[in-house]
Amino acid sequence: MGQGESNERSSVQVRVEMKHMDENTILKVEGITKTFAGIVALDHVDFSLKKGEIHALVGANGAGKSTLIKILTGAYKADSGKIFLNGKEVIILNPHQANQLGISAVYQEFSLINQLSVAENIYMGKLPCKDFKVLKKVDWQQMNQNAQEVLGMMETPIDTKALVGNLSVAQKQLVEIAKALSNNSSILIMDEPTASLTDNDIENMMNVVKGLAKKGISIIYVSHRLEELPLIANRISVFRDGKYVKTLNIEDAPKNVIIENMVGRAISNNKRCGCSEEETLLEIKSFSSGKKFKDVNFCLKKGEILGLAGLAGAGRTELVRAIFGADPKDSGEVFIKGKEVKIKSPIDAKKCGIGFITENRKEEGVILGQTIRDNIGITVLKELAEKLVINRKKENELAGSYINSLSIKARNCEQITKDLSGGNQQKVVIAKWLATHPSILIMDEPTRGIDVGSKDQIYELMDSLAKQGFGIIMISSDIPEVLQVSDRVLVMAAGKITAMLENQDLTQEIILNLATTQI
Amino acid sequence: MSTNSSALTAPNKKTKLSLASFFIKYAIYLILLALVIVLSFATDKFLTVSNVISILKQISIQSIVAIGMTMIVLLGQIDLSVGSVVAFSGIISAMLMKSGMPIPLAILVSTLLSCVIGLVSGIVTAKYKVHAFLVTLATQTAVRGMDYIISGGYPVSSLPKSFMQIGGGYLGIIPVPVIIMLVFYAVFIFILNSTTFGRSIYAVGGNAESSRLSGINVEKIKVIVFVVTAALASVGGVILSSRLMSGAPDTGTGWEMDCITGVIIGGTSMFGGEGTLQGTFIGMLFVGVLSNGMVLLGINPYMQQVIKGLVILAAVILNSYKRKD
Repeated sequence: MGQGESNERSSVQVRVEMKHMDENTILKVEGITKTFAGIVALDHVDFSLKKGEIHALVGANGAGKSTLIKILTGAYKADSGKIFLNGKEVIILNPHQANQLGISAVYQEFSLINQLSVAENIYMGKLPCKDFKVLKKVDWQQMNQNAQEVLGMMETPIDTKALVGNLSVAQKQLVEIAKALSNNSSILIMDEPTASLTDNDIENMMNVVKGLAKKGISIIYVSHRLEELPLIANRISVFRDGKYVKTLNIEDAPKNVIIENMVGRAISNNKRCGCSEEETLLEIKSFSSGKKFKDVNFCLKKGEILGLAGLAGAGRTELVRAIFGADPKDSGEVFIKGKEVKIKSPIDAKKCGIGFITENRKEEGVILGQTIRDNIGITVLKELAEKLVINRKKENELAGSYINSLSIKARNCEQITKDLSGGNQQKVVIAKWLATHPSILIMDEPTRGIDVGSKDQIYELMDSLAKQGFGIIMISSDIPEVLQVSDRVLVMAAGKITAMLENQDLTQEIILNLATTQI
Repeated sequence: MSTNSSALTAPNKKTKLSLASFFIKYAIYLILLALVIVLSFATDKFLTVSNVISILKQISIQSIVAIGMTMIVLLGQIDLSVGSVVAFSGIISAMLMKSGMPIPLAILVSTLLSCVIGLVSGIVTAKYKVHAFLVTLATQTAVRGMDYIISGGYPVSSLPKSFMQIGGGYLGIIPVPVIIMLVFYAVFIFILNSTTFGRSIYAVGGNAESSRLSGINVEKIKVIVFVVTAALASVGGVILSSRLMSGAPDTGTGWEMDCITGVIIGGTSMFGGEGTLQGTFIGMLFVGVLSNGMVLLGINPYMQQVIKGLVILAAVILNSYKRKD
């Protein structure tokens, strides 16, 4: 029924819009829906972009911004919905077609080739050529001239013959923009363009972007940095859980209003009752590592779940990897139950009773091609062995007991891990660490990419482990999850801890505010 | 939920489709069997006791070296230096014996010196994160040069008569090298399957980062495997010099490729983490049977190489199917 209603509504809108679709609106998206394996990523999303405006897209992780961008650039195909460009309906099948329609994107990850010149990078895949009979010869003069024109439009003085590898990060970002513009783009999509830039460079880049807007190019600007939006955007569209929420003029959208719209979701009230004891298990003192994190101090109590909240790139994963000894740190001390310990490698961390469930399950968690038994036994090979020879029976029993106690859905312990669902793979990783009898568990995004049923099982498991006296540090970008699971919440932004809070009367707004604060 | 239930029903489907996957899984065994049957009918000589023993004797020394290569490939690495080490240990042991050192001590010393070569390859590979292909390309070249310098370019011969027993002796009708080979395979199959060291090799080869984060000393495992591989190459070198009754600087040339051929035909993945020593043995045996059969059939030697190459190609394609399955 809801479906019918929205269809009706959108068809009305089409009629109205076709009339109103003056020269001002360049792009209009209606009722776009996209699902991945049954999970709805975008749910009947509407969006419109005016000529020459800078339009910011905001939303928490998983709100659907990236999916929308990928549909507009032809990387994904929408399940349903319509896209209008200059009033005409278009179907975008692939990135090449998007370019031809004048839609280009600049992504966070650089797609530049360091060994080639600026001009070659800008015209990658479409080098201007002089045609000979058999061979095509690159027209270097033409290419450099064209590149200069594009960079001139951006008012950016970069030598077109310079090697990209010798440029600064900020300059590379600008070349990336030039590369997008070189398709004669009328719509430029920028995904977190300032994420890797310093303050000075950000200002410079914003000026370039504003200059482009003045020249009539429309810009879709995705950013986590809510502070910078008033400096650059004309309008803001908010997304939440795959749905379009609303569009605001920047004058009407101070940070608290944006956050209010970003959150919206009701939080289930089954917060953990603070059953933590007073005994301190782990204490971290003045942890620093280059630009990743600076002067981090915190402690973890026995029986406590400590939520580590923050946005992508806040330095949370880097911090816990350094604590675990997986990456080196510049400075910092670790105390376990009051005693200082030196952790220089995961081997040391394991000896100290720390377990680490990594965020990339497939790359760093399990060995996909091997059995459940082999994966669980990997952390305790020495304990399973008598005089270096592994006791098969003991190993089978160990794997069997965790398959039962964590209810891992598998035929038997010899099933290959690759064939398990994400949730069950995650349980295998948890099992291999429980097998080491740790006192501290670090869980980095423990429920990412796993189905709802398994999620609840993992929450229950964490709860019961905490009751048994484990100390758990959980990193999560899903703020409702942090609020649901944690006893205390630690918020990080730009490598620093911005707050340490008891989980009482906390709201998503409070945490988002702290996570977007720069100190 | 749906993914779980499909994971549970998957085995049933597999057992029904098992004929195809059974063939793919045991393809190398079946093809070897077919080859044996064809050759038995095609020539009178093939299926005789003396010919079978001669095949086993033919593959025995290289097969011992291939044990080390299997462990290296299981780590996702490669060792090009084994052929040079075979000559190295042959020369060193021959020179020591000639100078009057007792045979067992000479073998021990040459093996320990070979281990130093493996230690260098292993440490550079593990510590500097350079792929072993490049590292062992260097050690292969350097050690081969040393072989010529130490030996002066000539075979070191006139060795003590009793030394001949190792490479040329028989126990009943079975050649001693074959027995040594079988013992080494039994020991190393046990090590790979049942010891912490063996299991760590599979873990590191399967996913080095995951293993490191699980508290396995990845660098140590890599270094040990390179040392053990050099030791096995040294054992091969000693047996070879015993059979030839001389240590020559040009022996073992190209053995690294022969060993890799056996390992790959035996189904070990070049990406590491998957494969068995049993497979390697079958792979080496397969190449041995094929070569023997082609000689018996009187096939032109150059044509033999072409056929061998095509067989390797077929095995590689077959194994890629196995992995997809």
